[in-house]
Amino acid sequence: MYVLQSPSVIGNNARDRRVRVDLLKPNICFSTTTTTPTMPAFELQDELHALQDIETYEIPTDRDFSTEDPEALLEGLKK
Amino acid sequence: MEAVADSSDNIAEPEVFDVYRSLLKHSDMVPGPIMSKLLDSISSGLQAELEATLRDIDTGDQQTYMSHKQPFEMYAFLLHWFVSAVEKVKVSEEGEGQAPAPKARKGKGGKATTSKAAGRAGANKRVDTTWTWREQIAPTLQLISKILNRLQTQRIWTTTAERDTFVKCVLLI
Repeated sequence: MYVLQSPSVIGNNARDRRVRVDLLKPNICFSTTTTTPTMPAFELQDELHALQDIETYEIPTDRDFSTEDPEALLEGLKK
Repeated sequence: MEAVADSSDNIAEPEVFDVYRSLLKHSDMVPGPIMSKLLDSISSGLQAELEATLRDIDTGDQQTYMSHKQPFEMYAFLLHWFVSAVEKVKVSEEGEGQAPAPKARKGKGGKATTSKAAGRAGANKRVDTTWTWREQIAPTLQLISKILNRLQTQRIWTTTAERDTFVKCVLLI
């Protein structure tokens, strides 16, 4: 992440001009914090503990294999 | 499991992780060949995470290599669960001389599974005989050994407690 001065603060001396030119280089990009959907914090210890009682282990989007084909589900992730 | 094949970090996507967990939770209804694919996928993901983590540790960028911590733990958790699930089946089979009849279980909303589902699960159990976990034990142990030998766990899990948790999970303790 680059912390930049406001353009209005950047002066006109040689160093500042160089900074401004550098900013135009294509390999410099501003951090815009891309947000991909990720899990809420995964706590391994808690998950292992919860796994001890499989019947009560909760999965947010649990599947019902009496109506869904597990193979199709696996294949579905390919799309 | 191409989502994971494309990038092992995709395991951290809720939808992907939940598919793995669902398959494991309801493994009594999953045919053997699909369980085999599932294990392949988990193992490949772990392997890929190991390689990526080792590369990133070499670069010395802590922020980068620490990003592998959660995917690593997720794969380790899935492997732990997988082994627990198949070992239970194995023990039952050895004890009874054949695959166990699918137990009645409650689905969403507490409804008991239908007879159709039970019939299907029974069919799945017949398919199960085409796959045996026993053949996969050695390669799985090799992978675990490789992880513990090559990975500098103290770089990723910085406290003793969390390092112990990870190692125990991987060792299937």
